[in-house]
Amino acid sequence: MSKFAGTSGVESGSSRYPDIDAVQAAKVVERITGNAWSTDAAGNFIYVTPAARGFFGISLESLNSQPDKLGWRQVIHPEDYDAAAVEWRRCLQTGEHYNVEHRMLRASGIYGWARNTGQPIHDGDGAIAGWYGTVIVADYGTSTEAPDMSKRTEAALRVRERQLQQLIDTVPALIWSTTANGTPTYVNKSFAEVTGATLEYMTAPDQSPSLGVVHPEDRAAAREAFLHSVKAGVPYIQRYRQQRAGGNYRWTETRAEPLRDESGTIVKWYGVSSDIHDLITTQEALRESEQHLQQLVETLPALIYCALPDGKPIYRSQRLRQYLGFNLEETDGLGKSRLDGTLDTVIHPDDLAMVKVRYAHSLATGEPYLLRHRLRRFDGVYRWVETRASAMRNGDGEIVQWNGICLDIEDQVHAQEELSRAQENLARSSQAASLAELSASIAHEINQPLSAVMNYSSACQRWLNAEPPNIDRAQKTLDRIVHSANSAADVISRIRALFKQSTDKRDSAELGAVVRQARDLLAEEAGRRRIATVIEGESGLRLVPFDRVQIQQVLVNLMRNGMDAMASVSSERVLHIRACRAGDMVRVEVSDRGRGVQFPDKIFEPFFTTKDQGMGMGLAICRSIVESHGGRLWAEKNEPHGAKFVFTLPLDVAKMP
Amino acid sequence: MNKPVVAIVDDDPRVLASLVELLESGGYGTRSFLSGEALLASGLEGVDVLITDIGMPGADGFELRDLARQTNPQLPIFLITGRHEIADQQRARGIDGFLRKPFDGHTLLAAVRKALDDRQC
Repeated sequence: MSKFAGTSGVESGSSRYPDIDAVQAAKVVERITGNAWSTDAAGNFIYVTPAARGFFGISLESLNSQPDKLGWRQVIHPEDYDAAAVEWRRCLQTGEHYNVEHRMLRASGIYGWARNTGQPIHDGDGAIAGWYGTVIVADYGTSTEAPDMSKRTEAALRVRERQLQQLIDTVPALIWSTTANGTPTYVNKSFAEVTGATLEYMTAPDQSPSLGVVHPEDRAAAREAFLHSVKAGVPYIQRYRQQRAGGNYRWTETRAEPLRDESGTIVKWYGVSSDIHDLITTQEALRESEQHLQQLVETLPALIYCALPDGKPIYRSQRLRQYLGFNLEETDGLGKSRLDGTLDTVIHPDDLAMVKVRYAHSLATGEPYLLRHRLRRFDGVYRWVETRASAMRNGDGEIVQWNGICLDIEDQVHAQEELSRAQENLARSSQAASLAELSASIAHEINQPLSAVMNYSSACQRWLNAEPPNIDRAQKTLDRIVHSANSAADVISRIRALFKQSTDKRDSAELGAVVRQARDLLAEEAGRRRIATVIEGESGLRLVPFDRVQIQQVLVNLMRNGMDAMASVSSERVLHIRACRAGDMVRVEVSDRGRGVQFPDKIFEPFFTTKDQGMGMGLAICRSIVESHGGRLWAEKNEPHGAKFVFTLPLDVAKMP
Repeated sequence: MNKPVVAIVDDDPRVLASLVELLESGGYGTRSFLSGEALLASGLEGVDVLITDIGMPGADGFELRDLARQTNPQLPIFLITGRHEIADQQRARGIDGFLRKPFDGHTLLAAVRKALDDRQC
């Protein structure tokens, strides 16, 4: 019992050799009671009987263990320890007999009352050589048990339980207990404060749990679950709305576990209720929001779908289901993937290849998908839709889903077609107007000499019919008839020449020079219209001999068209002229940033024009010139916008390096 | 009796010359002008009939007619044109002596003769 003497010279005592007499004395006692011990003069244990070691579950070493300052303390009840320690210290100093009753922890884990007595042994000089003593267990289970000891054990147990309850009351959780058959026996302080319910309130007249704090709508289910747990001995877990002292309810999760004795019999139920209101309301809000979104998607006036990263459709909105007349699984089992099965079924055959190419591209690259195509309705009618899809990605940027939307643009497409037709008609009527203008112009040109012919003819007749006939004047008049008739023929020839290529003025000028000259011809006009003209390409391109004036006419015509196209464009008024070699030909491009070509098939037809002023002959003549030179002229789309007119002319390969 | 004098205005010299030839073959004296201004500068003194083209730079046939009428309300005037759309215009309708090119020379001479005869009556 070194600790008891810790403040009074234990160091000197611990260095002394064990007193054999104290041990022998203890062994004498051992024969009588079994529980005996001996210490040296300082109180260090030197012997404890095996019976005592077994009963209390201790060893001699642990009793003397200095480092952890335990010793006897580990087996004496904390409440009794201080008094016992004071008495033992006093006895060690005075040599008086030690006689203390205290609770001791047994190997079984239970405290029991015990009387611990000891007395010193003196050496020949009368000095204390050691101590020996015995522990008499009060509730040893024999006839020696003292009635007052049993009572004290019970009292101590109650103290212990009270302590436990204090602990439980200070825990910020709603804790309760019931008997093995479910009769409430306890609610902790938090429970009473939070719910405003007492143990009495929680107990029904028939001693069953009243579940008075459970929301009436949830009570029956909770009762059934709890009674089932009690009957089957399985843990109880239930979520319900639990009343608060203020009268409102909060969602609560209650769990209860049975406490079993050594034989496994349930002796009690312990329960704890946790407030999960925020969790539940958040979940509900989430569910509501999800439902709301679902409804939104379902009722949006658009056809909506979702697909897996590989394109497999996994969701179609109600409208899309109605439009198609079927849902996801119908196209399964066609011997192909659901995606292919769907596309083959719903996409117009003429659009199918493009849809597949573009969709596959998006799936492979993650780029958004956008395409206009015809979509088959449930009744077999194809309608134009614009489909857009984009990838939904997770936090790591991986595609988790594709979300798509189809907008019905049938009406829009029709309107667009209507508009195009109207514009075409407009273009045609202005073409007709130009034609009328041309005919009037041609008619006037021919009418003049024709009038002269007729006037001279009448005059000639008169000269011949005169008395006498004026042969001289008639002859002169006839000369003039011939002259005027020739004039009329000249007009016809000139018009024909407009459409006919002459082949007698060809030379071999360097193409770059011709292009630059054409640019210079239009420099003033370009500056006035604030258009930049950029020439690029190879130099030293030698053509097969060509009509320089005509090719320049083609260039000027195409460039002026480009300028006209950019008249209504506010930015990027740049005209690009590019010449480069393409095999045995030279390829010349004239690109503008205008609105592009609306009728690429028709613009080369004679008298076709989209301009307010113009005869619609320019491009027709240009094409005719280029083709007469053995080349081709066509229109392309310019990127990012505008038109690109391209013509080719044969290179003089022999003169090219 | 002196020949009646016909003034002819046309900006196309070829047409002008053929009209002169026609009128002379009909026995008229002629004065020819390449523009309305030239006629006005020369004056209408001694002119018995006026034949003018309509479409001309400067003063056109209609203006010339109005100016000549101010000087000589009785002067027979013939308007000729090669452009048919002008002939269809409102202001050209209801006018006697309106001719579209090409016209028959004899018809013009007969009309000129008739106008001169009517005036003498």
